[in-house]
Amino acid sequence: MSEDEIKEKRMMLFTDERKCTGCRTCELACAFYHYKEKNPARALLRIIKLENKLRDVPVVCRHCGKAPCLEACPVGAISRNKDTGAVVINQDICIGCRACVEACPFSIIIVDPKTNKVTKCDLCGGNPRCAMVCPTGAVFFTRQDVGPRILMRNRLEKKVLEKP
Amino acid sequence: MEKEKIFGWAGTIIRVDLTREKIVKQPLPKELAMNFLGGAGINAKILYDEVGPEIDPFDPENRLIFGTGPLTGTMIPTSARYTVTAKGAFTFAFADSNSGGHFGPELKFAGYDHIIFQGRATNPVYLWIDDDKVELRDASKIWGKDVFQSDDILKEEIGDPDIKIALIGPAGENLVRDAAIMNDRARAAGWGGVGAVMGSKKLKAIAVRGTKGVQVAHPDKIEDLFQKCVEMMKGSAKYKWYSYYGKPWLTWLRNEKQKSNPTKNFNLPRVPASEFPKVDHEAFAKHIVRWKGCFNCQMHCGHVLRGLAGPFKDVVGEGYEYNQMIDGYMMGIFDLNFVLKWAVETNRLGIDCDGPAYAIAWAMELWERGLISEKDTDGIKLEWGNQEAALAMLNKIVYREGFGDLLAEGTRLAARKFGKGTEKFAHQVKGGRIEIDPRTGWATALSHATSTRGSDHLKGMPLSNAYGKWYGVEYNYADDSSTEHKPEAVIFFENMNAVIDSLAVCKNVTWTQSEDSFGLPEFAEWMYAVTGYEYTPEQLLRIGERIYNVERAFNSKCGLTRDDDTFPEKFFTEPIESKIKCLDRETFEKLKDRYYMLRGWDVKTGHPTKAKLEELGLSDIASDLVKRGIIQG
Repeated sequence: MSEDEIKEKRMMLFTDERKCTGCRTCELACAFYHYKEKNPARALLRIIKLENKLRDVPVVCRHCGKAPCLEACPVGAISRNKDTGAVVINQDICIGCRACVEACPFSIIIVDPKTNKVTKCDLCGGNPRCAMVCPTGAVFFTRQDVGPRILMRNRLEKKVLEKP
Repeated sequence: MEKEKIFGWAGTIIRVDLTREKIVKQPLPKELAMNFLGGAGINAKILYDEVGPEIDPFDPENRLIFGTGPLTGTMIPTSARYTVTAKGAFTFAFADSNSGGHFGPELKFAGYDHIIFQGRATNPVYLWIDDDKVELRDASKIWGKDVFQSDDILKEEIGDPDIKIALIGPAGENLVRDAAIMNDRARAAGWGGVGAVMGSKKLKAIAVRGTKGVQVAHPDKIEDLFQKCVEMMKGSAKYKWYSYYGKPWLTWLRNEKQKSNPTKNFNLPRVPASEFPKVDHEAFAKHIVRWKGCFNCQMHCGHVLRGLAGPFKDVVGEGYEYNQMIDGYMMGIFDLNFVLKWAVETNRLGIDCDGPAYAIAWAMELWERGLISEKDTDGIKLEWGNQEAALAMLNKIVYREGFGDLLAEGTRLAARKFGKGTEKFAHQVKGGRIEIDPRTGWATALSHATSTRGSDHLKGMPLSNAYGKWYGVEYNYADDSSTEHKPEAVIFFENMNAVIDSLAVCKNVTWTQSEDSFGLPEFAEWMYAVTGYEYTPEQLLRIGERIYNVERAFNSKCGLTRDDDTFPEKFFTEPIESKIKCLDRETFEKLKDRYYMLRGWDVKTGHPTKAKLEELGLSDIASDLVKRGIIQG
């Protein structure tokens, strides 16, 4: 596959807040995939509960085309995986300065509560578990060009779930 | 238990003596975990062992026990549950209450299975659990504040907006007997007045941050098991209804199919046809903004709702269920905008939604009969359907002001204190409100009468054909008109539900609700994957029986007998449109005979027998009851 083809067909994560029920199954599955433990505190995506506003907001890494985290890293520990398109951290190089945490416009670079190391979403090597387990399609993984059309349909149909 | 070898369970119990401000961490005894699983089961055993019949619910020596189960916080679907157990504020006997949300899993992630509170703090405190660090902190800043305010202030004080908090509101502080323990703002352990017990201990909140997670025995099996389970859940017949309408769907089932819905303090058999379209599940669906799920739940039966008309048009709040809908019906209010306001207010004040509604409905009946007037009610016109009056009275109940102080005692005690023959308008069993009309059928009646925590459908009411499926017999739960198989089915459900509450998963996705959803074989499979212990489904059911016997034995110890397993007069004398019309006393008592006999209990007294308790490995409880002269040696 050429570089261009990869760019075009690259799969990405999308979120639709209106469909999120706040169940955090995604957090659980994410942490389990990465650490083999049931521990959403270590998850690499987050469901932010804005309780006063009655909102549950799924926040995922967008693996930005021009990634501010990658650019902010002073030691070049962050790079793009050529196969998946994921922006990933090389823990052997990372100095733990958290410059990427501050640079991320979505604040979805995580400091792991067990290791205090900076971590981030790696798309589970191309098969993200969060999208796989989401019961309503609030987090979904699709081709970059298809994602917006799904969101558009969700919006136009004004429905969150199918009525029985 | 040796710490490093435990999977599923966290392995640690916290014991908090509020009087002495002492916190002790104890290992979870392996024997307890093996024989009672966790959650409701271990809670019940601790309650039996530590609380005597002489202890008043509000005595410092009462225990308030929080319990998660071995499956809580794991990837098993609906692993969000935790149970609170205490000597109940309105049952004066056994009481437990179960809640979802995100608090239970967080407690587990911090590394704890149970918390036992005893004593009473001198000044209001809250417990802060930050993984290994557990400390009591001053709660004077939030004492008196409502649930939402306290939640905000605590998060601010601790400096982490994502901590999980279980707390009481003004209702619990003021010892209102229906006070709830609230978590995640809109989830409640509402039954039994456990919030009032918490208030009596001057314990305002438990705040938790857990980052340690749960280890499982067979991580390689979990992902596949999860996918398989979700498919099964989504394929079950009731899934599509619950995942869209949630519990409000039941109102249609009850009103239109079973022809019974608690309405106007049971003066009407159900919501009249002229009013029902305003308050049915379709009317409900119009209020839905979006869906809410508890931790790791693919069913998402909760909702965020919006008021659509009238004075509560702008109210937006996390959802109400079938229960809040019948609260409206009971008070003769047929307006779902009001129901939303009622739900939000009861959540904010930290009170079980049904308690005050039933008390107000009782008072409305008194008003209609001319037994009370504005002079008694501080000027509030308690006429059927008066929304303003209901909300004003709710406030008075929570703050125990004027007439509200009487209603804050719950219908049974309020009627007893008020006298004048009004006890017959208080619809309760062992102090617990009747939420499903026992005249709809024999299994319904039997399960509500014998439930260990007062009239209740979640202990043993058969809501699916799981009993028939398990024993391979013809059984149709929907036809509740004959007495055949009914005691057997109720016993099966009581035992199985005890297992579910102890593993700590949600009944909505199990055989409790749907025989094509998760049942005993799945529970055994989950336990193996999560804990590494091989239980057979039969062994699990046996554990359920053991737990139910402990609950019943606690009630026996507290002085309850067979005579308490019954209903107010009305249900025996006033017929409704259902197949059995009303309860025939002789048939009902015969059904009870058979139930106690099958249970291995004393038919005359309803107490568990020595032989039965010993057979279940409960010889300590047997000898205690013998020593107290309650059962024969």
